[in-house]
Amino acid sequence: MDKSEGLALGLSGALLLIFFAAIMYASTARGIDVPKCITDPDPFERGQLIEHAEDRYELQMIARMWSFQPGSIEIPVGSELEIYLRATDIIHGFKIEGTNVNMMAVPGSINYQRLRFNEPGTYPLVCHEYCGVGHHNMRGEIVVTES
Amino acid sequence: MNFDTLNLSKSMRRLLLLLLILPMALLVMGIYGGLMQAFFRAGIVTSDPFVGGEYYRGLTLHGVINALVFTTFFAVAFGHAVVSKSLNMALNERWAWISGILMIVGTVMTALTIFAGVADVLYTFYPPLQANVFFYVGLVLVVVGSWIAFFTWIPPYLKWRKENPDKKTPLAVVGIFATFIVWFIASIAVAVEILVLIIPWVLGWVDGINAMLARTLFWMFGHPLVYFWLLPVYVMYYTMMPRLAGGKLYSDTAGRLVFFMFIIFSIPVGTHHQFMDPGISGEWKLIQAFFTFMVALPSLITAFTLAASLEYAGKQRGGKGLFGWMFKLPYFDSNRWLFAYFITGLFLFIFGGISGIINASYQMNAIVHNTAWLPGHFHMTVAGPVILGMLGMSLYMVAKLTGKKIRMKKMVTAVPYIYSVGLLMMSWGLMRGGLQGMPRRTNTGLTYSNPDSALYRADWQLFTDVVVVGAVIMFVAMVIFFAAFFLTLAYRKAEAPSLSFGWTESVHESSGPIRWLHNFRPWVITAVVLIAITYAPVIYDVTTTGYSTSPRFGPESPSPRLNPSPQSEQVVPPEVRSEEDLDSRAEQLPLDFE
Amino acid sequence: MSTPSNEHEQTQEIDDSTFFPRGAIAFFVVLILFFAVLWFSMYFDVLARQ
Repeated sequence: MDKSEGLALGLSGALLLIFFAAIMYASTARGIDVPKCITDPDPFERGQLIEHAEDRYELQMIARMWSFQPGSIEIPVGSELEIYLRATDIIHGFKIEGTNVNMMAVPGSINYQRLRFNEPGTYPLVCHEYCGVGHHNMRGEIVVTES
Repeated sequence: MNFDTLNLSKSMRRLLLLLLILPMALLVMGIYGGLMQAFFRAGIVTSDPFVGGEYYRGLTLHGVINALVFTTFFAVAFGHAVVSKSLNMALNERWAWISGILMIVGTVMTALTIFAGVADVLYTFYPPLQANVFFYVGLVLVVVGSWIAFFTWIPPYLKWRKENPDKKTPLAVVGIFATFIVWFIASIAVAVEILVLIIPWVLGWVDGINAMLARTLFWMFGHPLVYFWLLPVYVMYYTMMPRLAGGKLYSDTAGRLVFFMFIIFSIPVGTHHQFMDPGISGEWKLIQAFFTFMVALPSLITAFTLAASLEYAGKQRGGKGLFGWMFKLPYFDSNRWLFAYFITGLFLFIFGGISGIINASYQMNAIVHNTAWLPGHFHMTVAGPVILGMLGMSLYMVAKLTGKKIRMKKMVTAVPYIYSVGLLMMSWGLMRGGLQGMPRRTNTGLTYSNPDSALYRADWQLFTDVVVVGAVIMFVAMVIFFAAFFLTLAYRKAEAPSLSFGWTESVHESSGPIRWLHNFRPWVITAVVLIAITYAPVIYDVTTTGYSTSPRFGPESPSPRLNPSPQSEQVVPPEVRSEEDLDSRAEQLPLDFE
Repeated sequence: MSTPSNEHEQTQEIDDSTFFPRGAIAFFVVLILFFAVLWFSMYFDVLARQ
């Protein structure tokens, strides 16, 4: 291993170390994380939006062959939304455009992610995992209102 | 005893030709499928003669032929040639033929189920979506066939080892063995998924399948699969490209280190395809993210070593100064046309590499997971350097094995450049669209790219259109290549068939064999230990946190298939819905059913 | 690929023992910086979306 190879290895290692440190910072200091594992899942039967407080909501979302249920919800801007995602038939995808929320809905497990909407507007959510002939129709939305 | 004295037997030559020409014929279908993907997604076409309106059948065909069949056949054919030529050892032809026949039978079986329309499950075949049982049996036969090919190389290697105790194993053999060690260990996971979980479930012996476990086993195989694609091309980059460019490999030791690093880091990383999955806790995902960064190291070392080798070649050809060598390389020299396939692949892999690191960067995966960014990425890895290297080497080997002159040499030299221009456009469109939320594996032509649909997204239109233009350019390049390939075969033999590879010497050559880079055993043991450490907790999580298993589903109906017979399925009335449930369904966006 | 034609190139023999890949190092530094720029532009996008 001569000097040039050592330099190349050093540069590569440094680059990857910086990337990994940035990931740790995002996870610890900024609380941006990948979906967690729900160890005691209670498979809710119906999808619904539950208002816990004026600015805290819980969305129990059902993904099934070819629609999200509830398909469209409305919450005020600035509120925090906890999302529990359950697939009742096969694997579906769940991505809220413009946010860091991106989850897989796998039957037999419940997925969870949390986010806060700081900007009003309509956030489309899309199923991005092939789930049969109606997959390209499968879409919903979250409307974040002004008040 | 110098290299390449062994002349392949007639039967071996015929087997290699079969393993190269049959997949090339299938690839014509796979490349046509690729063009159709772009047309379907842009809504230009809504049905085609082969798959009718079934976009997802076309996608399954495109994925299985290009990514599974063509690559596996090439790796086996290339492995046979490299191992027997560089060790000067004849292989056991009976078992080589058995392996080839198994792979062909498996491919035909799987292809028939796809064309029959009973396997619209894409090349990842995630349960609980179910395909016809012969789809899976076919894939298992292809994998087992490739295992047998690998096993035919071990006895000659051990014999060569005994006869040459002091000589180093040729770098090409180290590369091929590393490829197939990774392939063998990793494909055990998908074999378990298919044989233990999927087939009993499809045949009705078992009622429920653990979808998360099946998915985890698939991706334990899925990422090393991409190194099974990549490493044969790395063998070409390390052992053939430098000499072809007019230079030498900068460091033979670096090459060995890279292939050994792939043995240990290729497999304990698969969960980076599951960052967004439920059922696996964040810590295990983070550990596998760390190992994915470790597997980026050998590719970065390769980038440097090949750059140094090309600098040597460029300077040899009169290149001056820091970057002068870059302009002296034989880019358009039709006598060294294979160099064009290598250098374009290397250029594309710069973008393939960094987008891969972005995908694997834990939370950053949230922006790109399952969006069109992913096909943008992997068309610059497997459909970039890998396919270009395999196409070039297939044409080279077929010409040598038949003793025929390569036709349309100037056009053949231009193909990779045309292909790369189209590919960069297509990938730009897919990746920009993906960042704006455009999903992958979705027939956007019916909804998001369809102006009459309520789901129409005008802001994505530019991206789908650029993808179409790029795909057409790539298709043109491939039509030229196929013309040259089959024209070369059509003409009469020009000389006695004899396959020889122009092996590269290296600038830095350590004298005797280096102790820790000497044999595979310690690296294989390390690999198994790393796999156990990183995957035990993941497997534990997915087997314990699930609350239920899943029945069989087909892509055409939301109701589960209750009786086990693969074809017919019983329509079960959807479970009784409460009043309120129906209201919420009513306020949903209108759906475009055909 | 034994090079069939050995057309004339201005070959200047390189002494293997003294060959130091300065150009490759320069290329690699540019590559690493290019990777860092691309990666961090996506990374700040993730931070901004939170």
